[in-house]
Amino acid sequence: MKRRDFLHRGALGAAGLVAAGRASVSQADISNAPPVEHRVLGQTGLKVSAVSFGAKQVDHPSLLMAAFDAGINYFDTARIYGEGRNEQVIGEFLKTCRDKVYIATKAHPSCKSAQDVEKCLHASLKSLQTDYVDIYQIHRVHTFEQLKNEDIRSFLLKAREQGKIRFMGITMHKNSAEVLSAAAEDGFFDTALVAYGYKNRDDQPLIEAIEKAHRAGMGIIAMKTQQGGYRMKEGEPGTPHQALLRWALSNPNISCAIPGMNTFEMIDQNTAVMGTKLSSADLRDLQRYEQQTASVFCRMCGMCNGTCRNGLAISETFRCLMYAEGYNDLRMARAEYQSLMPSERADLCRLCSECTAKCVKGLRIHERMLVADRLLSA
Amino acid sequence: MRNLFLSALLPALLPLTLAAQDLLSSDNIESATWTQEPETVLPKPENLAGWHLDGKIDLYNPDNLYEYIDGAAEAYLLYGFQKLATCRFLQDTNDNNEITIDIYDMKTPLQAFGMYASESSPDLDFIPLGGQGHASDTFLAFWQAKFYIKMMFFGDLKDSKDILLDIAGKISKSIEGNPPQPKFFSLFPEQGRVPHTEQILLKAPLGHEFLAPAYQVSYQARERPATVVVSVADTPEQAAERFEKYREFLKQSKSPESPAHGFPEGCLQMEDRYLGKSYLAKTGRYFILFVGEPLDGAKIMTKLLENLQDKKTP
Repeated sequence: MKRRDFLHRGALGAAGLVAAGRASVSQADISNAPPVEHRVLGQTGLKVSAVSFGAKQVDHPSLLMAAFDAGINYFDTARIYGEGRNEQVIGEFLKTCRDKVYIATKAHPSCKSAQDVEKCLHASLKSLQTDYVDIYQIHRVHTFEQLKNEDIRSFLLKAREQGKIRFMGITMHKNSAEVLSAAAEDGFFDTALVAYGYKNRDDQPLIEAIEKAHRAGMGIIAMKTQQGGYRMKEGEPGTPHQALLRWALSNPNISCAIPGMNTFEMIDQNTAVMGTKLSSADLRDLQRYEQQTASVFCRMCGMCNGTCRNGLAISETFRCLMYAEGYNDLRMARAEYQSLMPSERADLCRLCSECTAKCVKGLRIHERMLVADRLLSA
Repeated sequence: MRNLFLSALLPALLPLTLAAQDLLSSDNIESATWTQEPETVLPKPENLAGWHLDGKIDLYNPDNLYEYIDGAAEAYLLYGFQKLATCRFLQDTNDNNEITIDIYDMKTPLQAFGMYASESSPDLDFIPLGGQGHASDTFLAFWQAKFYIKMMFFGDLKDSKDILLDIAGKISKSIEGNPPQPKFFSLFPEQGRVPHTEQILLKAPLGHEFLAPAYQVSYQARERPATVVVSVADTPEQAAERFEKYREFLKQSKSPESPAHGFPEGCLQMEDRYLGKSYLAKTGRYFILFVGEPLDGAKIMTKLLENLQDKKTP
């Protein structure tokens, strides 16, 4: 089916969204499109765009089409994203270009047996409206037991023989270094989707496991590269998300990154990273960003507890502040704040001439406690 | 790790939820106070003959929801997620048959509806349960009061759908209250409307953050589909700004522009690179975007504009 046909048919199904019939963007002016950088995804041999697409936030196909027109050819979804709805949106998109893109999806994390995975795969194929997925991933592999599940492995091999999947992968959020290292030694899986970003720069076990897996022929796909933030509050410095993405891709063992994108602006910004190199200016930006955010956002590590000479509940207060600033739930923030003992609350900060409280991450405790007092004491 | 995730996520959510809360507080089903805890509506093991609880009830909050559903947590937080109670039942005679039940406390019925709708699609098998629900052999979901309920079946049972429906009925009975769908959707004209396509979009309607928050409904007439998005601004000036911003976006792809023939005065007809014909209008603090070429498109837009103009509450 051609894109025009797709557009004419529309997408009332999954997306509940129309695409009502016009020419492809290929016919539009895309002369300013950035160059596309492809990398080989390990032993799969697939040449994937270095900046690929984590599609979990997408709720209509036009963003995927824009990404495709910008050169992205690898799209990642999962059965759990909207319980199949996200796959349905991608399915609408695939009608236009199935043979030109690679699709990765994941079995539902609750699958325990081959039978469960089989049902999930069939549901995914139906939602995606395709006969095969390029990379079929076992979602959330955090233990050796999960990694070595022979029942599921047998099914994956069978599904590959049947042509329903081309390659097999794993995804992980916890124990990544250990699991990835074991997967590299084991050699069963073709790819691994790993949380990897600037925040991991000192995580030597993870960096070494990525290198080991890459050398073993696994294709390494990076997620969480931009730590979720595209912009700061108004008036605060912008997140250097391009630098964050460049940083992740500067590791030659990474085949591609899959930032989540839900606006056309994000697609433009992320695809512009392809073909560019991490610069010293980027590194300066990243250092500055970390310093700036460290002074504003409490990591709630609790290391500050006991450092205030008046015994104020610092980390608890910042948790309340998070409800107000992060979730915009002032009512809840104030209710939680009121549950603190009066002697622990931030209003006492106004009376204190010298702050003894210390944050190991450099957060400006006194300043933020005054913000909490202003917002939460009403 | 958890806190790194949160601290990174929060700045991204902040500007959206301010506008979203305005929308959420403007609708009609928020008057009651919803205090029931999600764990109290989970079925009691003694009421599920033939099944037993595997382990215990797990609770998650906004800080650690990602531990349960990974990246999908972001959408739940956006819609105001408060607490999740989840548990797993195994069949007494065959523990390969498993039912997982998730009760998401979304704080308000409107937010519960919003989250439910974001994971729904019109081709599902809908059931009259709670505010609305759908069910298959392996999955059942519905929303009721402030809760979004999801149930998954893993295993092999011919009557798995009936079992899910039975348990869901028990859960529904234990939930206090059952408010109807958000009233705002009654402003969308009925003719040609595709059932079960109502959406509340809090993040980036049609790929544009500046359009959030918005209500969306799909239409279809003789295989000619359309989508109608009502972007809710704080002020008429902001709605006009959104109108201009979207117009500029379309102009970037060299869209032609003309008054929309047959549509109310002030409506513009343009062309979206991917979505096709687009009709833009504004009234009060609403920016209306009509995408597609349905029959009676002009009628739908005219009626919608009238309804929005008549809307007493802002």
